[in-house]
Amino acid sequence: MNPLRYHPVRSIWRRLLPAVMVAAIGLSVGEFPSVAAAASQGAEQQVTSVGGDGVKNESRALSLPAPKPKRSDYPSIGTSSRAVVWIIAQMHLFFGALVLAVPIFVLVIELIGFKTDDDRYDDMAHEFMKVSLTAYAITALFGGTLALCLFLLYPDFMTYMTRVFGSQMLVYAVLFFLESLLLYIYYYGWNALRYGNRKWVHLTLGLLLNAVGTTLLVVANSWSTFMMAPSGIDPATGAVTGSIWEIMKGPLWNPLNLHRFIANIAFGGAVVGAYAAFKFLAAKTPAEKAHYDWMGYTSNFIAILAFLPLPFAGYWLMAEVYAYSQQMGILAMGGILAWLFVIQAVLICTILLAGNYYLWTGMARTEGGERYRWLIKYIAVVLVLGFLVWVTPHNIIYTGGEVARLGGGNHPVLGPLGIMPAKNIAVFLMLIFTFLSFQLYRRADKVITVAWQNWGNALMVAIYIVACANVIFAGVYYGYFTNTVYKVGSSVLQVASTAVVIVSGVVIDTLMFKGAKPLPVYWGKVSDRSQYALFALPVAFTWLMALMGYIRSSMRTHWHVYAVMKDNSPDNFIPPLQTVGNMVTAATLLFLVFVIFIFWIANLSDTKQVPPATDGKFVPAESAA
Amino acid sequence: MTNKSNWGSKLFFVTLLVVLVFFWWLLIYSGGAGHHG
Repeated sequence: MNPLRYHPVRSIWRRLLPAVMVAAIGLSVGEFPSVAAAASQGAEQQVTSVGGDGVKNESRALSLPAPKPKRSDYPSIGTSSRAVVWIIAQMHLFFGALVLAVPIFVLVIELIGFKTDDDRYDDMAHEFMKVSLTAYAITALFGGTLALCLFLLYPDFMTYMTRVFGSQMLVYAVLFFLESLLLYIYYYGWNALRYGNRKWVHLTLGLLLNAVGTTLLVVANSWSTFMMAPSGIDPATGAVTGSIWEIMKGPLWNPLNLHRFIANIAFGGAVVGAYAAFKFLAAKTPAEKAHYDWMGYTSNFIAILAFLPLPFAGYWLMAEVYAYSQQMGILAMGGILAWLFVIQAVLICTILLAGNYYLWTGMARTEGGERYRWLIKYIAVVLVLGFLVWVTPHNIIYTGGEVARLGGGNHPVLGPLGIMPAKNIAVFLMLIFTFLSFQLYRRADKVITVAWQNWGNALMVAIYIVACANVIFAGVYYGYFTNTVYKVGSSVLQVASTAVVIVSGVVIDTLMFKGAKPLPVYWGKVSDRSQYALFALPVAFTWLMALMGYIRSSMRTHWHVYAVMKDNSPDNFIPPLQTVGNMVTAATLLFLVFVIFIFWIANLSDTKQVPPATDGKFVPAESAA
Repeated sequence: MTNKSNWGSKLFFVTLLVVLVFFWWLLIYSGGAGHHG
């Protein structure tokens, strides 16, 4: 026993933890009595199994090895427990991502509205929050259901997780209450705190809401990353050896924190973009159309802007995965799961094509867009070629006859396009050209007047050419003509080239737009077709999240906690890709059904029934009352 | 002398600073700087 680790308060919390945590979540979903009873029973069993007085219990509990459940220790419910938890967890993550992300950009939009004294921003931010508020209740419902499912279907695993994380999980429950409190005050206090210092108070509440929400995110992330790359425990037995900080701060924690934080914003932007498109198509008046067109544009801007740096965060996460366990990394990107990265390519390309298409059609809002129309076809060619390279698989399952005709396992011409260097070139060129679409869109409603505009444009064109040449050269030379060490390193050059284009593009444009003559923008004068691009974005984002989340989780293979606690359930294998595709699609469709429900609810709150007529005459509402 | 009329903006930016320090502490410093499980 380590006396330094004993703390009486912590000991009490550890005993009460399962009951308190599940009760806290259960309260939020109205399932309190049954959940609390089940959890108390679980807590008692845990205490009994530890036995003895407080001090001994504490040290014994911590020094206990990870459980080794037998097949019979997993309750059978007549269907796959993994499938149930998979769907519920995915739904909780979808909605969690949405409700944590929306307040982040809402706060920024509210701040812009306040500083520019433009009520349109404020109204739009308020409307975004309306979508988020309805989603919040559904997040809590799925969160409670997930906790119940985990405790009921994977009791030994949850016993271990609660033992490892201890009172940190209680902190999560407290944060959840704080999040609810701040969310309701922030939304319902919007009009009460609208001007002057009161507005600043409202913005401060929004800031605190985001701080609590992001803390919730990183706390929950630590559970996922502990399962993938455990730390703060004895790797041989799974007994707790470190502090909660050592447990939380595993090698994958911050990479996942960054990746999820950015991805959530892109996802949230895409979902509220679909809401704007829905409202745009249903709008009756030009004013309504103008409002929702602008809202859709802003949402797309947020989604694509957050999406552009996402591959960099993804690279960091995968680099850390490889550093932690090469076997895990290779399973993901070179083994059976690598197939799913081809699907990932299709989905990301769908996002880029939809985002670009929306920007191109959006140029029709202003007469200045005509100047850049000729460039669109070239951007489209790069995007389509990039798409084709990215989706080319390295090798596929052939028949004997096909192998004979090919003369080997790889296609003689297309084979080289199946490996990462070709895909890296495609990805980075697609990102650079997506930024070009953005830049053209931003310039479409202005006439630049600075004296050095020709020099500025020449500099910008030169940066694009050098960056594209660098991306292609680094990919081809280091990817195909040097050894693997340089091959991996070349992606750093490509990231840097892409980042230089984005940063210098923003800086040069900001300087060039000084004193620019604005051209009129006709909001609402956009084709209905463009709105379907806004629908395509959240569908592709949702599918992508479900797919990549599955890959991340599946990298653990037959371990609950990688290399520490084995999964002995009937589902302890990587399912066939067809099953994966079906599950991921089912989760996506279910989420979209709920999203449609949320849009309908948001619309319903604006709908007022016409008072019933009496004796064939119309009666105004006041008289009827 | 403190201008009392714009205390709202001060409240916001002080909170922002506190939030940033909190996340630096939570994500980077907590448990000892440079500690890596």
